[in-house]
Amino acid sequence: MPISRGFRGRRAEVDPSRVPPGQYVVTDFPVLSAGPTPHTPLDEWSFTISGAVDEPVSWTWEELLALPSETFTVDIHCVTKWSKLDTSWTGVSVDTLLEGVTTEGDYVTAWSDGDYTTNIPLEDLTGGRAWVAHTFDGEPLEAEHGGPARLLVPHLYFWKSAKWVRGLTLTVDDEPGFWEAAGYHNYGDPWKEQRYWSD
Amino acid sequence: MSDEARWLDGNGLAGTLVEVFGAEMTAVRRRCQSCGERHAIGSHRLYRGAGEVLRCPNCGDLALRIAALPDRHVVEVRGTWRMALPRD
Amino acid sequence: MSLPRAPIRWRTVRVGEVVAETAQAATIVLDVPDWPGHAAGQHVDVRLTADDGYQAQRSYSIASAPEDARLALTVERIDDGEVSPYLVDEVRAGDEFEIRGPVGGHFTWRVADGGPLLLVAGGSGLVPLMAMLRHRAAQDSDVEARLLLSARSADDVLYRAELDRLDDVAVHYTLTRSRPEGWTGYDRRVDAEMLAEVGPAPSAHPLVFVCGPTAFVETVADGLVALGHPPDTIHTERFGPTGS
Repeated sequence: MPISRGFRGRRAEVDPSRVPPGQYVVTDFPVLSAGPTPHTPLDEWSFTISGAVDEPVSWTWEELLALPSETFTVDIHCVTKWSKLDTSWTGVSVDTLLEGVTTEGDYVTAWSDGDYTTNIPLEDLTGGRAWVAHTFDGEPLEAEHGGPARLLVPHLYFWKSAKWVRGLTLTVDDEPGFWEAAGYHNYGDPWKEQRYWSD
Repeated sequence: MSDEARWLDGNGLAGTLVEVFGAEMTAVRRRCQSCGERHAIGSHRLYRGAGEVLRCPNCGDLALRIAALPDRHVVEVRGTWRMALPRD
Repeated sequence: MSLPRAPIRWRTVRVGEVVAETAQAATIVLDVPDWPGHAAGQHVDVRLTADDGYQAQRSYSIASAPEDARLALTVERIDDGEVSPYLVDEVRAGDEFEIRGPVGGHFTWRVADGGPLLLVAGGSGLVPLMAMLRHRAAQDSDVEARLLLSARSADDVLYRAELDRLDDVAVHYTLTRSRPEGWTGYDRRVDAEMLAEVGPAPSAHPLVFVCGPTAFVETVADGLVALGHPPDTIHTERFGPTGS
């Protein structure tokens, strides 16, 4: 592979212990998507937890915003190799959303407006490791970055942080989502570089 | 309208398609499994997420999904594609 | 006649020469061993590798005609870009990078395809259309051709001197941000009225090629359809923010 003399790309210098293997830190916020940006009006928006649960539960936009939320800072890692450090979000912890939900399922399929889905073990969405985030950097989350709300699961590759999330379906069996069925790793731990089926 | 800037023509996938199929694919016509319309692959809408996605320019349904793994491409093809692949 | 069989792997190329076109753009002339040839309108994917292995990839239209001895790409610097500033400002003769191609059979024109030809370019969208005009000239073709070029200012027009020398192509400019003293050409964004004036009319059954930023291509394509041009005679290539 020939080296392109003097090419560096647009990358920041950072503490290497914060950068998972094969990743490069960027200072912008790349926009990637598997389909068009949806524009569901907020008065038609809802978030639903359903599937292998005793009783489905649903929130309107106002109801979601009325739930206790947290503001937190995390690093995010995209399977396309960019990482963005110290990103600030505000959202409702999935622990809060799961309060009172009784389930036999061990897995979750997060689903979004459009046809996007992603699967995550239920335990990876609990213990303070996941949120439904509606604010980025102090501003309402922009549509191109997943607004009005996206799932945020920063300890996994960022394709698991489903943009435009509308619900979580609890499942008894693990059901590969949009990218997991198409070549990407079923779990997606950036620190183990679990990008693809072959990893 | 703000979404319009987020997709490219299928022409932008030409290089990957040549690598995957061994032939120039952008003039291939595909009949969509959802809406029935026929459009050239080069006219489909290309989205880049973790991998690459082509969607029907009429109805937006999935036409192609490609993941580039280190040793293989994982490709899912939908609809009816009429291809003429050159022989040596 | 079928397109040349394209190589399906990345190949290393060496920069033969870098020619400044405008303050924002440069043409990179490449030495490509065993180049299989290309059709006007096609592009190549370019891949750069930093010395720590980091890679970035973008697509660039081929500026040279199929008849030209060497392959040329014209790159316009995007201010915040990752790859274009390197290619415009840094690259010099002897440097190496990788290309894959030529690719893009859907946005091509050969003299044998006939005309009349209507080419509509937004900024650096002119590059693949210039390859078409250069091909037309190299073949000594008399296919009727018109070019409508939208640019921010006269200084941003690529290949200005060469366009001025094309005496058998009707070249129309619209300068959207600033104009030289005494400018009598168009001075607004391309719209259906301008397209109707530039012509040709749909009844002439022109082949239309539109290239430029996504929003530009959308507006022009919509305008052409509104004038009555059948959508399948309009070939488009959009440059978007998603990496091209």
